[in-house]
Amino acid sequence: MKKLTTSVLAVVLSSTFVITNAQQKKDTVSTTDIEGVVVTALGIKREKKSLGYASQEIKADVLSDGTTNTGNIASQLSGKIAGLQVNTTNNFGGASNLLIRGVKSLGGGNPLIVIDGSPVNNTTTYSTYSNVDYGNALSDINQDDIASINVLKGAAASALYGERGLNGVIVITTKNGRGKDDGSWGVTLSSAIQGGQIDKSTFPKYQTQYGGGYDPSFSYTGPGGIPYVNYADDASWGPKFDPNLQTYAWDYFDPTSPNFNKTTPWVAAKNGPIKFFDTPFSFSNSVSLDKGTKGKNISLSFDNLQQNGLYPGSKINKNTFSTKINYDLTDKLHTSVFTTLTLQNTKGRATTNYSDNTLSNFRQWWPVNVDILQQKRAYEQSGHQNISWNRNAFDNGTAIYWNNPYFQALENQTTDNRTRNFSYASVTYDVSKNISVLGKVSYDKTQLYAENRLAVGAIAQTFGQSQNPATSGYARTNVDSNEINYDLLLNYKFDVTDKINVSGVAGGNVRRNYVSSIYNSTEGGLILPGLYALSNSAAQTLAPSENESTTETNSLFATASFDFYKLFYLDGTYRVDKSSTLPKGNNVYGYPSITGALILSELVKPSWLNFWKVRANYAEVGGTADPYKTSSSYTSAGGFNGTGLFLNQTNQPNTDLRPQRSKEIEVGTEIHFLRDRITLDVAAYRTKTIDQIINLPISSASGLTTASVNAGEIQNKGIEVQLGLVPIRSQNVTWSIDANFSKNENKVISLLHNGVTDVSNILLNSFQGGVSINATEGQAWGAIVGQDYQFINGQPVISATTGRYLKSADKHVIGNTTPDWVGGVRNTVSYKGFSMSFLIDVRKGGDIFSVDQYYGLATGLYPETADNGVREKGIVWPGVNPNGQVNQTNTINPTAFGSLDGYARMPASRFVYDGGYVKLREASISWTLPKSLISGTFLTDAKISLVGRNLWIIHKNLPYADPEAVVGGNVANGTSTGNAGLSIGSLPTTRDFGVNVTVKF
Amino acid sequence: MKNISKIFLGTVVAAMTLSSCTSDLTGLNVDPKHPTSVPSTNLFVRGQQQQFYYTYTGNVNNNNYVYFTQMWAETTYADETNYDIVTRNQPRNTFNRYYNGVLNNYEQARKNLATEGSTPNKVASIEIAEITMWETIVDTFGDVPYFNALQASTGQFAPTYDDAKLIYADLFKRINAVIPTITAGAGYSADQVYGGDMTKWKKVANSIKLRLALNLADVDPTTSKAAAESAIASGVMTANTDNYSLSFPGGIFSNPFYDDFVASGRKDFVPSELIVNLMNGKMDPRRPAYWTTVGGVYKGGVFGELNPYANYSHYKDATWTDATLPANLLTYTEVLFMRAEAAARGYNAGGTAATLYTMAVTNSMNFYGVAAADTAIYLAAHPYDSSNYKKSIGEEVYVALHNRAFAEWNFSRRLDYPVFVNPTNSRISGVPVRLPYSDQEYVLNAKNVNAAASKIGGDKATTKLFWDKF
Repeated sequence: MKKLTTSVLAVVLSSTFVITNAQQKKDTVSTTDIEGVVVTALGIKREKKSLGYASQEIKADVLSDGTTNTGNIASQLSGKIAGLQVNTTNNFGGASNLLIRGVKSLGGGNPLIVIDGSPVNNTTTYSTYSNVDYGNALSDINQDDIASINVLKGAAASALYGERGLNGVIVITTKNGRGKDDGSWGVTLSSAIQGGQIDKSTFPKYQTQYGGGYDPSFSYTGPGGIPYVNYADDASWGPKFDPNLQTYAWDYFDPTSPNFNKTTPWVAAKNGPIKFFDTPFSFSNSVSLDKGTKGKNISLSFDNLQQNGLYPGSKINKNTFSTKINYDLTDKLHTSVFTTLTLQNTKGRATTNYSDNTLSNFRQWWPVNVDILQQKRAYEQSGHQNISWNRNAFDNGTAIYWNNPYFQALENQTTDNRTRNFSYASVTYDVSKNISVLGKVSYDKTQLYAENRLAVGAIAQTFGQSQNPATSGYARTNVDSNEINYDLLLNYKFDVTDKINVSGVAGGNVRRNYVSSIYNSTEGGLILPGLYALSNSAAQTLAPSENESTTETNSLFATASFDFYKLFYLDGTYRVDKSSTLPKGNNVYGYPSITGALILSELVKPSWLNFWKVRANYAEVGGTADPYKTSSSYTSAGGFNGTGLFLNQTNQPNTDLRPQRSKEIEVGTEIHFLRDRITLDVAAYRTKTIDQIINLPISSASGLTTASVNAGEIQNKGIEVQLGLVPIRSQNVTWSIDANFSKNENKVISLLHNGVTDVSNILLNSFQGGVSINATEGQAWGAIVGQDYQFINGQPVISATTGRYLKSADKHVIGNTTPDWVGGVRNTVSYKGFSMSFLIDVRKGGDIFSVDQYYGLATGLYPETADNGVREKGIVWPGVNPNGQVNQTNTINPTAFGSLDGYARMPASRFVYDGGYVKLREASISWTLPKSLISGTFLTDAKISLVGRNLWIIHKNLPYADPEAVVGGNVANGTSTGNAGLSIGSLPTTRDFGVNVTVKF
Repeated sequence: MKNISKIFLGTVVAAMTLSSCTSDLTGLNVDPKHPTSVPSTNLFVRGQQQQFYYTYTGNVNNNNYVYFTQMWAETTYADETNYDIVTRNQPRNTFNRYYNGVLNNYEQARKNLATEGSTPNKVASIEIAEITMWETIVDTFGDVPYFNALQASTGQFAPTYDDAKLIYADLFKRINAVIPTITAGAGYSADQVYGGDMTKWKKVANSIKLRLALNLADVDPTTSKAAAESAIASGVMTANTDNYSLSFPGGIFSNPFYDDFVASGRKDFVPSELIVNLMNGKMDPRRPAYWTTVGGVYKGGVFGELNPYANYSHYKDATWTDATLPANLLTYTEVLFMRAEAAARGYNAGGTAATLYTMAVTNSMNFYGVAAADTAIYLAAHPYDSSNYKKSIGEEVYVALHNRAFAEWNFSRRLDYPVFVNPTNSRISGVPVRLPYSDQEYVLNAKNVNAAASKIGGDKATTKLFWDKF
């Protein structure tokens, strides 16, 4: 069975993971073959034991067998690799971002993804116009095509990628065709069905004592002295519920409602917002055909994935077609072709962030008297009209601040379709047994067509190119991007003496990246409802916004690897890059690396020790600039009484940019004891990144708001530990424990100091409430700065007259988004054909500013804003008065909106939470049918598994939300797409359960 | 081995050829879709659009002058009327718009003009426009980056803050210098305010000088008197057609009140009790132009409290919230009031305080379409009161400059009329008399902003500007 390719080597290659295959042969591992072959930079295969740097490989089964299929292999790496931090948003089809060994660059950045030696696009797309998360491109890759993933963590491992190696490299190797032994086609069918259930700890719990309003009274009274509900108030700071009190609720005016023209009692809603969500389901079906032998094989696969999300109407349909052919034309001439085509249609990606996000509505601005299922009924029975609880007034049914949530989800729906094709073709000629030459072309193309809609009847929202408010509209974006790589490599291998040999490559690469996008929108609304076309614009549209860039890097590189007596290995690499995006004179630069590995187990051989290596390396990698950083550029903003306006210039270009550089020293050791019952791999590193190319936010008093500069020195030092234990290994039973731990200490050493410029803090992102994320000298990247409490002897100070906390006059560091450490532990137990595994994923620390709590504690959504009569009695907050005495003053005027808690009265630090978590990330039970059972049938293999994902958040500190679910999901990039450290209007997390069946015949 | 060397060499040569097939790669780094520079006229007009929109706006996220002068009450979200100027980062947004949106466009226009073959009148238009913006900035924040500002291109990313007094002195100097450079003929034909009419630019230069001069009345009477008199003598605005006023075409570029009252679909604002009651008390004939009635009366919301929309008067569309209405930053009415105040302070303002007061009120009445007879009745009932010129002028300015909150704010800080009361639920200790510094300055320009904050006596909304003595 393809999925369960037995590979004893795989077990120890990664040291961390033991495959869940119970059909392992007996333990035959010996010292000589303990370390296998892994794929390293540029697709070069190396004996793992000869490597002088840390890398960690996981096989397909570890990637995918223990979990439900998330549709995004990036998220499935979570908790599995020491030194890799994965952050997955809860957005439907949203991004899952990878960060290796901490934030190295002030502007953030993602690891390079390489498939079979060729770089591929893993762009995270987030629309700042519509606040929609379009996910990361790695999700286009079908997990069934992957044989293994090797994570090159450090600079030495990624040095051969030069300017792209800065953030580490993830090397994916695809499967080769491997048919049946008799040479006929092997067929594998896999089917999976899975469903999700909301983890209630990640969604608000609402108080049930007070209804809609910003004041504990009804603003208007209607006929019969019966009050109108405060429809226009999107808060729950209203009158106290009273089942004996009749009101004119919003559905009194709704002719489709059973309550039409009927007053209703003033009570909390029976059905809260949690019932808004659909049950997410996912169905995946794949078939793969394999045939062949080494040198002549073919693999064809097709995979269909259909998912619906929590958000009503959301749906993904993804089809992936892949083919890989290896064919030896002669003994010396080898060819290889791979192509994968992904067609994906998605609808209903939800709006994220603050404005017009239904989840912000639920988490910050919700009247708890509104029954969500009544809103559903009103939407459905009115012929899909925007019958919102949030009426303007009793005599005006137009929605004022929030649409009916179903109207918002189903009428204002986003859609997009992506077409992705990644292909390569290579020819290798073995000149002699010592020399071979490889020529290769790879091409990665992505087309995205995304549409945004605002249906007639919606509330006015900031929309489209002008970002003016509109009550209906349509916008579309087309993005076309591709990358072409031409490689020419010469591989060599010589024996210097019997015991000393040298091998390596020399070659060149030309890489060309092209991105073109075009965007336009209607202005001033739609003329005809329901026609989503640019020509249906009520007002004159702006000219389309076009962007286009071509970048190219030309490179030469050479490596030499020496093997001395299988005892000591010494490697050197050098690469020269010439980049199109840096100014002439600064655009040619080289990257060296040197690594060494000493196999101590060749020298000392106690019986309990079966392998021991120590290793050390030094390397430099870097990064080039984005296009057009060396000159200004103006963007049209439309005509003003006949004069064309341009958007304000914001960036100061720089004609002296240099490449950024990262220098890393790493040492490590790998030990296997007791016939691999215990394996340990430890790496320690220190990285300094200098000359970073950043868009430095600057005081707008300078005229501009950012400047392209080389600045900053960031140091990352850390330790990574992989521990593998096999407590039981017998004929029938195997129990293995694989743990990984990584702690990265990040420190901003210095920023920019020269004659005219003096920068010791860099603003990475700003949120509401004067809260910002910063890189500050002397601190870790991601310092959260904002107003704090005042303190006396460590106690927060409370005014003795108002009972309210006093806010600091200045801004302080009130948290840091960088986690203290991350880790994972996986347990796998197998007994004959049964196997069970579970993975615990841990993040310690990493602070989060919760905008949901900032507003929600003021608007009275949560139980702590209502319990114990706090709205009447006030709260005696813990702390001291300015005279140092313990506070005994009740908050004054607790009844007034915003007086007690929330944004208006509390310092920002009140809403900063520790973002750490402990999660039961994966769990699975599988049964591989014994051969005895299937022999005689057409089947050759069959397996059934029950899998689960995110089953239990064992521990977290952030109330009512998942600390992992930040807006754009980008852990590193605080500037454009990422919102590290911000919790706002996220979807709840689901516990996913699934059944997978795989058969092979 | 020889053969192998050849292959080795051959591969390397081939690789080198491959990797240098585009000889000068940097040629790719030229944006094919966007210009790197645009003509000064486009930058100048962009600066104008930004200046008028963002100075005039009442949007809760921006300057908040309408709340500092208690003109609008809020219906549901009574944060800004309780002086929460933290949550929505109003100081930041204002600061960034003024420097980056307005001044930088003017400054870049000036630079580009030099390469286009500059004319003195175009230079003067830019210079005067810039001065009007600087006056707003210095009278909003107090000490601000000035002498070293707008020099990002030389690496001055965190400019020092300058003493507001010195900025005042320099602005006087610049006004005095620019006026004589104006020559016969036009400035920018695309000029959205005066269509290149330089006689009007001269008048606005003198009028802004008058505003600056009057602000100094309490702190430096000598300079104040001299500057005010020289401005009036040199020629301030003499008609409504001189108004420093920009008309919006509507559509993508609409009047800011339209965007917030109409296009947003929101119902956030009603006029405040303070203005409505003041005008009710005087039976002001401008009320029908200003507002709708509710139950036959004009009713304003309680400032700082929640005010259900339907219970109060609303702003009249034709007067305030139509998309194509102009934004006025300095008007003939204001100039007349300034001259009245100057006269009341004993300056030579080309007329008595009473005459100028009458002219000012009359001009305002005419502007809002009040019949002459009604104006006469009003003036007879509410003549200039020399026993308390501050109250007499202050209250009339408050009515006449309604919704021109920044201009009004200068008067109310100088005259201390009308009296603004800090609402019960106010988040701060008093009614704002300045806008605090941008929070971003504390992370981007910390050393300088901290020095400025301690110099002015604390970066609070209640810290008075240097000229705001009483």
